[in-house]
Amino acid sequence: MSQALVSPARSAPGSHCGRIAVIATHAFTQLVRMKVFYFLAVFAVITIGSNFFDLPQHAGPETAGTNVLNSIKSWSLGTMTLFSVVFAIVATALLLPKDVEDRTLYTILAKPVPRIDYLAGKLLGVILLVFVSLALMDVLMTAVLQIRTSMILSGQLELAHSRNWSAAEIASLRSDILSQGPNVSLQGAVFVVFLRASIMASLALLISTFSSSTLFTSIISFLIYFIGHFQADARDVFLGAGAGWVTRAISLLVALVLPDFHLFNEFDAVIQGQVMPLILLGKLTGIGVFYAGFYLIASWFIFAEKEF
Amino acid sequence: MKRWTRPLIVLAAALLAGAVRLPLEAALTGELRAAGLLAAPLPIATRDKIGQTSAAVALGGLRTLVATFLNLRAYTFFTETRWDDVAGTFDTIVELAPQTIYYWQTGAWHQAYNASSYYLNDSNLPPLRRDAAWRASVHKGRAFLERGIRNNPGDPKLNAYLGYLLTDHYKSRAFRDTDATFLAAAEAYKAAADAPESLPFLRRFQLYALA
Repeated sequence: MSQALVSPARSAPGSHCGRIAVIATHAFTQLVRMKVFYFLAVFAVITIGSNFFDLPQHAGPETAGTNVLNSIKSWSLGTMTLFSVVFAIVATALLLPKDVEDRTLYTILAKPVPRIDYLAGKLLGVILLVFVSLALMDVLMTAVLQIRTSMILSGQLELAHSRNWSAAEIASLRSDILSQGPNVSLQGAVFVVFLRASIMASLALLISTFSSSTLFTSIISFLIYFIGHFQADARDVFLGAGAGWVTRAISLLVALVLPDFHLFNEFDAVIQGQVMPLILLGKLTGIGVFYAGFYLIASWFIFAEKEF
Repeated sequence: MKRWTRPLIVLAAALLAGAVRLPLEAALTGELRAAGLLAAPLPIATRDKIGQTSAAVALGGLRTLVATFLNLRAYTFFTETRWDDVAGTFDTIVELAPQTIYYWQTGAWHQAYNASSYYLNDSNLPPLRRDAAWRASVHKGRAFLERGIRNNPGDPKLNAYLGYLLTDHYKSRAFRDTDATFLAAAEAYKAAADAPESLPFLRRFQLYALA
């Protein structure tokens, strides 16, 4: 194992990217061997099940179809969010203690491997795992959504033709149904889910550099994840008027220290048919990279002098 | 360096970085809300109504998922003809997913059509109370629909549905001022017809309402 880790670094001395890539690949393989991809079976059951179950509908046959598409999207994206965040936190929390336990860490750090390369490699490995998982789930969701959209479209068109609807009405019906099917904005929403999970992974890495157990890292990370959704509330309390100075001071502290996860909640609007402009996706990516970069450097700062 | 020196330096750096990103995030939040991509924070009353678990899920960014489950619960209330519960659940649903037109339409339909018809045929009620309950339900449906239009200005489906409700022969007598009702219907049809990609017959319906 350690042979595989050090050989590319030797072949390219001083190459940070080479070393990071090797460690990332190793971390990814390590996580895959933990059989994490079994969760895909659960996701497949949820997604395919949501396609086949005929849930009770309030409305008649004219409107019933598109609501089912919304349900598939909200169930799938909800599951993707849950899995990606759990993966990001648990996998990251597990990596450092496991390397210490297996003594792999000593072997690596005894070589000329800078600690920042080690941490960046581990983080990239987790991010790669989250990316692959989300990509697989995305493919499954898009396929199910595409199939269901086609089924609904053909059923509704048949109904429209039998009622002698005009061409304009049929075109409107088609456009309505297709707007609820798979589209580019939906892929953007999945990317936002990935950004949030990546931030969580880097945050969990920071916590695991000073924590002594996987459980502690996981619990604190999940707590920060939930509190992070209130960060916008805290910021609004600080920026608004009316609150006392103690409340504002506490709000400011929360707003400054914790990440704003409310910013990454766009998929709710996308499920409801909103279009996600590329420029906003770019800005969110910028914020995501900022957080991940900051937490990585902070992790290295603490990890650099840690003795094992 | 002492044991806690480095974590304290990291904390100071986090505060500094937070001070830099705070205005940027506030601006981006405003931009995302203006684009309709980010909902306003969930009101405390709604958090209370959906319960702790659902509130945690909704705060985790899965509001539409909670709305989907509440929609199933509303269906159960509908089958049990618990109209106040149906109305209350739809109030919560649209707080969670205000841009889903289906929820506005369905909530209004339950009140204006299903609940109103139920009360009209309720043999346990004396005739005057039946009529009053029927009228109140139709008004409730209209108010819900108008709230939906305020939340989704210019939406052709909601406007067309309001026009349909106000010109419905069986419902329009619930509104005492007939002229004002048909004028409001014409305005709703106009708003629907003015929307891009609207159906051509909506303009015709606008004229029918004025006739």
